Amino acid sequence: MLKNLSLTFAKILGFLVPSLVGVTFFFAIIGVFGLGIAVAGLLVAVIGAVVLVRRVPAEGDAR
Amino acid sequence: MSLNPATLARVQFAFTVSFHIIFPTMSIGLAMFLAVIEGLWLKTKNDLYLQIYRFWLSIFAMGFGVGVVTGIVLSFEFGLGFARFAQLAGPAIGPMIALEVLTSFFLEAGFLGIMLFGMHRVGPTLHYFATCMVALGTLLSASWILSANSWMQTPDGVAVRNGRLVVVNWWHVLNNPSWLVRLPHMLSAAYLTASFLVAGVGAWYLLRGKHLAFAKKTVALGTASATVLIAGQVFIGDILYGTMLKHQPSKMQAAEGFWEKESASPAPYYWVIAPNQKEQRNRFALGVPYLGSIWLTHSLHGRVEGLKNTPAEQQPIMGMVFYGFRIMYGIAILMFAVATASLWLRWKRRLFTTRWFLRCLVMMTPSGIVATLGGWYLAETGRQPWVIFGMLRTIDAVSPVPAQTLLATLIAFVCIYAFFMTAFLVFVARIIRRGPESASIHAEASGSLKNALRPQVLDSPNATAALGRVGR
Repeated sequence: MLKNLSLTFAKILGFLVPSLVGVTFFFAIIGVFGLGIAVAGLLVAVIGAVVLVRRVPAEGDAR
Repeated sequence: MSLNPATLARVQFAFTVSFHIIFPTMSIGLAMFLAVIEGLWLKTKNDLYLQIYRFWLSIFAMGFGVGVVTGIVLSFEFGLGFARFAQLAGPAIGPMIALEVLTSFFLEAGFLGIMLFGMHRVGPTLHYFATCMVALGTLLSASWILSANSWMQTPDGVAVRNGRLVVVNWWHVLNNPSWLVRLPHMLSAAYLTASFLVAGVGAWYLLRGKHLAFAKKTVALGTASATVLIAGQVFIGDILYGTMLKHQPSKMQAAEGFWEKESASPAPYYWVIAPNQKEQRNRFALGVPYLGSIWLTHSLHGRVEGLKNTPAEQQPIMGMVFYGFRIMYGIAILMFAVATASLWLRWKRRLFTTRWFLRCLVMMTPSGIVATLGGWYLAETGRQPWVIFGMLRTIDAVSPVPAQTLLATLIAFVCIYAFFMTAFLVFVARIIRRGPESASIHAEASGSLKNALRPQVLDSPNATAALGRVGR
């Protein structure tokens, strides 16, 4: 029962975290919080994506 | 019912240009993708990159061919369907189209042969140079055409003297107010299109459990480039929105679906409307409360300008502009969501095993093409009733050609283009079904510069073996 709850919680979290991060970045990049934050948001998004792609080689999880 | 030549000329141009833009969008994106892939192959010597290159080269070549053929038609249509436009705008956009041919088209045509068939003759490094030149050619082509089209959207550097258009400042014609924003927007769109094409085909193979190494590499590459590109595209899109609001307010007023001079406060963000142009109101509108104020005015209670700010005779048709924009913007949001999900799954190391995500990628395969079409409908229908914004109305630009002639050529175009599209789709489907292992042997490396002077094309052991297979 606890294990099932934990799995459900992990699934909800797995949906919520990227959704919130994505929506925040989207709002920032389209300039809702001003041009300065839009530029900063764009830089963080692009550099973050590049770092993540380079650090976590996706082909490593071949199953 | 009598046929209206003006409407037929517009429908014909809309049909041919809509069909055409699909192929340059793919070519521009795939040419850059191929340049990156060949560069990675030269750097890492990993044959998987060569396999990816060969596979996508075939599809690129077919798309390039159809793009060239359908592009030539458009130049003729300027004269045949819109003679007054060609006459008036010729001094400004004629040289740009000529320069496109002289610089980019010659570059592409010159190096495309080497790219397709030359690796055995010139060797990998020169072949890579040829691939880069083709990619550069597509980029230059987009630059010239975007400059010409942007000049039609935001004309500058010209004066009308004695009924004729005279260029007074070439730099202002070329670097008109919207060009430097629209160009990166279009290039990003093309690169995003290629990213989703590549990732979608890879995801399809993964779902079927075929060509796994190829599929994983292409899904990884496609999602990675899409993630970086979509963030930049959303940013550029917002800058472009501001630029067009300044120079073509009627377009953006129509794009948001508001009629009154000022919307309610807070303004909703409409996703579905049923506009009534004659009565200047929406019969029906469905939107998200507050979001219009937040997105469009960047405040909680800001008001958005409506289309009644533009005199009725100068308004574009709201429905076409609105839905063109919503298709493009809706797909951009979906792309952003997919990119975010791909980063999360990559972090969790489930990028290749999450089946819902792979299905999403397959469904998103043509998303770039659809979004580009939506964007161009927004750009072109939003400029109406002008063909050169503020200078020449579309209705006044039409040639005095009989409606029957236009109808006959329209039917011919529909038939011929339907054949082109069917042939393209059949061949692409065949290439994808066959898989990367059976891609053309032409791109295999074995030559050097000296080989360029020799008559033998197939001179490598691999090629000989491949010929043996063909012979059996």
